[in-house]
Order: sequence, then C-alpha cells, then structure tokens
Amino acid sequence: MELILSYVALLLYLAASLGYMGSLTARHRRLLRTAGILARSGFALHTAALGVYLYQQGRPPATLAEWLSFYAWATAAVYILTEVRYESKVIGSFVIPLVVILLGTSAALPKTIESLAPPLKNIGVWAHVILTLLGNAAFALACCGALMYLLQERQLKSKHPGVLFHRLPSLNLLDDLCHLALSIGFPLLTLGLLSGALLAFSAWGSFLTWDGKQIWSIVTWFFYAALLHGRLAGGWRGRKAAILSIIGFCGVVFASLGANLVIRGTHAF
Amino acid sequence: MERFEFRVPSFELRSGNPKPGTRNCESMMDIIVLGLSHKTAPLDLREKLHFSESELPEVLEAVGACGQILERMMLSTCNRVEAYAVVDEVETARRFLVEFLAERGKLPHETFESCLYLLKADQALRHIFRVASSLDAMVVGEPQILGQVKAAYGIALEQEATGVILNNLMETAFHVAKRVRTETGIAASAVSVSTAAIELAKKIFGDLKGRSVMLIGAGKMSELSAKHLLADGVGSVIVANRNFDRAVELAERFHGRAVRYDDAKAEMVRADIIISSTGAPHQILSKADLEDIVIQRRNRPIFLIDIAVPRDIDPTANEIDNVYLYDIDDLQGVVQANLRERQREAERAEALIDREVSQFVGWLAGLKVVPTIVAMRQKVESIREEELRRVFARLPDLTPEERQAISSLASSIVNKILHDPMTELKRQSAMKDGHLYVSVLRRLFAIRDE
Repeated sequence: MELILSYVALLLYLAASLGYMGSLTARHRRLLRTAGILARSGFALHTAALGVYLYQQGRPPATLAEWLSFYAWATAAVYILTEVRYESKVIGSFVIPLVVILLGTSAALPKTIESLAPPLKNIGVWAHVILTLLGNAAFALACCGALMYLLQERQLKSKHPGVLFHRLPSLNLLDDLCHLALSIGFPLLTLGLLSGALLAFSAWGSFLTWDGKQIWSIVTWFFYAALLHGRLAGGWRGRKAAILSIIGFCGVVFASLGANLVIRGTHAF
Repeated sequence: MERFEFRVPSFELRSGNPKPGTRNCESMMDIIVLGLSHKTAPLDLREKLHFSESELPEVLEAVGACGQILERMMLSTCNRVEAYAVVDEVETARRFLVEFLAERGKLPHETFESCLYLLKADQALRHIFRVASSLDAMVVGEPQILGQVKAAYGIALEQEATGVILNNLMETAFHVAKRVRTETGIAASAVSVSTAAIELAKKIFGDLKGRSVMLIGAGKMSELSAKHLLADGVGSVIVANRNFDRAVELAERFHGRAVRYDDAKAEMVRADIIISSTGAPHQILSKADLEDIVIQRRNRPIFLIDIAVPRDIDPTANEIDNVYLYDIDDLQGVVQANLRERQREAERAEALIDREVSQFVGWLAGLKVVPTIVAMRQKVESIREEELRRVFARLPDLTPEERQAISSLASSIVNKILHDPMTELKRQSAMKDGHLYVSVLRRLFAIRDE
C-alpha cells in the first residue's frame, strides 16, 4: 500500500519538476501553476505513504531507503512552506528535482527490513530522527537557494542577462532565503546531534560511539557554525556564502550516504 | 463558450411565418480591415488622415451611410488609421471607405491608396487580434494600444455602429490581448535604458522600497534616472556635484540631500544605487576605492550605473564581489537582449493568435449556417401544415383528441428527421469545407437562394 502511494508520489514529483524546469526556459504561468499543484498532490500522497508506514512499523526510518524517503518528504515540506513565504514558485525548479532524486534513490534501493537495536526503542530516537531530518531539509533548501544565487549573480555580472535572468528571483531574495534556511537548519542540526548524543549515552553509556556518521556530522556542524557566524558577525554574504552553503550541503550528503561505508558503527546506515 | 452568445433558432415547430428583417446571410458577408499604419505609411500621411476620439461619433455616422457596411468601428492612433467592418459586398465598401478617407484628409485618393491594406476574413481577424495584443505596434508589446482599441470600440458601441459579429470579435480580441499579455513575455522586459537599469536594480535588491540612490553629477540624464527610480519606490536621494548649489537645487526637487563633491566617497557607503554622470575627463572611482566601500558596507550589494562618457568608474570594479557595475553600453546591450527576447515571445503570441483565429472562424461559419437552417425549417413546416390541412379536410369527423394525436405525430416525425442532419450541419459548418454541406443541403431540399 505505502509502496504504491510513494511510487505515485514519485511520478507526481517527477511531472512537477519537469513543469518547474520547463517554466525556466520561458514564461509559462499555467505550467508553473500546474507544477505547483502536482508537487502538492505528490506531497499529499507521500505524506499518506509515510503515515501508513509509521502506523504499520511503529518506528522511525531504520534503513537508508526509508531514511531517504523521509528526507525527500521533509525537503518537499520545507519547500512548500518556502513557496508560501516568498510567493515565488521558481525555487521549485531546483528543489523539486532534488526531491525526485532523493525519493528515486530510495525507491531504487533494495527493501530490507531492519529492526531497531533494542536499546534504541525509546522516545529519544524519534526526537533525534525528526530533528536531523528537518535540519538536513533546511540545508538542502539553502543549497538550492545558493545555487540559484550563483546563477543569477553570473547573469548580472556577465551583463548579458538571458532567459534565466528574467525567471530567477532577485539576489536579495535568494540571499535572504539562504540565510533563513541556515538559521533554522543549524539549531535543528545542533539539537539533533545533542539528542543523538544523549541517546547514545542512555543506550551505550557514552556520548560518542565514533562511527563514521557521527564524526562526519560533527565536521559538518562545525562547518555550518563557522558559516553562520561569518554571515552574522563578519558580513559574509553573496557569492562566497553561497559557495560555502553548497559545500556544506555536500557534507550533509556525504554524512547521509557515504560516511558509514568508511567506518561502520551504531548507525544502521 | 459563453462568449459565443448568438443562439441558433431551435427546431421546435411553432409558427411558420418567417421573421421580417432577417438578414440575408447567404450573401458574401465579410469582415474586413481597411487602413494604413506605421508599416505602410509615412507619418505626414498618417497625421493628415488621423482623427481624434471626439471626432469618432461623426466619423462613424458618416461611414454608416454606406448601405454595404453593416457593422463598423474606426481606430485612429498615432501609428494607424483603420476601419473594422462587417460588409455585404467588399468592393463597394472599400471604394466608399477610400472615398471617405480622401474627403476627410482632403487628399486625392491616388496619394495614399498605395499605402492602404485591405484584409478579409481570417486575415482581418488575425490583424485585429495582433493590433489589440500590441504585436503590430512600433514597439512590440507597448501597452497603450489595447486601451486605444477599447476606447474606439466603446464609442462605436455607444453609437450602435456595431452588431453581433463585431461585438463578439472585439470581445474576443480583448480576451486574446489579455492572454498574450499574461501568457507570453512580450511586455515583460525593459526596452529603454532607464527601465533596463530599474529592471537590473530589482533583480539585485528585490524591492526598491527603502533603498537609497546617489547621484554623482547633476546632469539631465541622472535627473531622469532618479525620477524613474523614485517612481519605483526608492526611498531617498543623495546628490553630489562639483557645483554645490546645483546639487542643492536638484536635491530639493527630490526631497533629497546634497553633499559636497569631496565627501561623495564617504557617502557612497550609505547608497545602494549610484548613478554617476560627471563631466570629469578621468576616472573618479578606482577599483581600490570600491573595494574599500564594499568592506565598509559589510558586503551589502551596490549597483553602479556609469552613464558618463568618458567613464567615471574603473570598469574592472565589476570583478569585485557584490559590486554590479553597468556602463551605458552594457545597458544598451541589455536593451538589445530584451528586444530579442520580446521577438521570441512574440512568436509564441502569434501561435496563440492563430488558434484563436481558427476558433473565431468556426463561430462565424456557424453563424453563416443559420439562414439555411431557418429556411429548411420553414420548408418542412409548411409541408407539415399543408398535409395536416388536407388530412383534416378529408376526415371531418375526427374528435379534437384524434386531431391532436395526428398533429403531434406529424410534428414528432418532422422533428426527428430533421434533428440529425441539422446537428451535423452545425458541426460541419465549423470545419474547413463546411460550406459544401450547406450547398448540398440547399440543393437536395431545393431551398432557393433568397
């Protein structure tokens, strides 16, 4: 049941992202509106799929495939809020394809059934997962905003503004979006890491079990801490801040997918 | 399709009398456009034939004197003089209109006849849609023309110079113009230097509210640009000029603040947009100056417009992050690119118009089939009445109920036989060879041309 729902959601997201990307090439109001509706319908079905999953399993995501699906969902959720906040649908041309990639990867991975290690079966694991998910989704949004910033900046600097110049929002809006996403994502990540540490302490008696994901997440945390500090105190903004946001997100992706392949540990994936 | 309000008469057989005054539509009822525009006629000719909005009522009345012109409206702008009309016979109407224009312009008609165009049927429709959508304009996408067409139509409507066809045509034209405006970008981008500068500023700062602009040099150009920026919401104006009195004078006009020329660099920290147009023979701002300013501004972006020749600002300053420097040539380049973009969008608009034209042609064809349907109905109706009369004469002993039954039997047979061919005729009339169906039907049922 939830599989069918998420496949249909994936198709809807895919159609939406084609619409969003098509609207980058020319002025297509209807196309953009349709894409918005498709994305929201996809999100609704995706929500239903995850609801069914949570009802049946009664535990947070425990495999990479499951986690990616939740990640895609959180990113879509954060995006839909953004669309309302900024009254700009163009951002979807960058975020929704990312959602498609995340959910598509999730669908392509083998479906294994994992059960949670017994010491983790408590409320703390929920807090840990939800906080890190939302934090990572905010960073994904910041990365997309940064990418759009770089594209728009290049349009302006080149002095030959093309189609993208007209379609993309202003630098000010994009910089603001990045800033907002970082300032929301960072506290969430911080709390996520703290709750993880407490969880580890209650389960294994130590705050750190030194698995790859933990180490890399801490590296990412320091990176974002420096970036946010630079933005707030040092007046970092614009191009450099945008590049750093993108690098930071690469760190997030590596922490999600790769870090555990290097050093396996208490995270199942 | 609520726009297409003209109703085809129903087939219910009630009265057999033809309505008086029904227009004979089997004749060559045509929509025509006759006129000249900036594309065909020079300005001195256009101004001689031009008439103002207040003259429109009398113009419409004069044109109405021609019996061949059934519906009419006249449009006169600085770029075109055109008549839109529904006519019975094109050539007579054309001669009348040319004569009328010659008389009004006090010109022999040979002098302007070569500049005139006469468009018929779907070409006329396309032209009217293109004019209303500003595709035929001198500056494609300029917004005034739609208002002018609406005003001209409004007056024609008031004068009752228009009818079913022209009313629907103009309503459709306005609908098309709206679609072109919202669905394509023909009017979306800036095509003058000062609007291009504002467009760029908006892509850097988003909203211009609360931003401040600084003018270095108090020339005409910078004054004009400042006016545009203020109209777009820029909050405050700072003026720096070598001649301080002139700076004060200009600043007062914009409720701004004048600063001494030597303090200009210090003040730049506070300005988001800088328009530089001094007559200085050398650069007044180096790359290093701007690097300093950006640091003091804590990397808040700054947009510099250098409209001075020779340039006031070192062009390499554009390489600094958060500095956007445009000189007069760069702005011209943006305008050129926008014009090309408009051209591309105009092609999309043409495709949209093509679809609307064929839809309207379908409606017109449906309208043309009406008289045939009416004639057909009348013929069958008279047969029915004649036959009933004969039957009732032969059977005088029928009870009223029996008479009623026979009468409804006849109606029902007639209606049912007519239903399919009439529906199909209406459907086919919207197709390319629709007129063939009309003539075959008229031939088969021996319906004479009136």
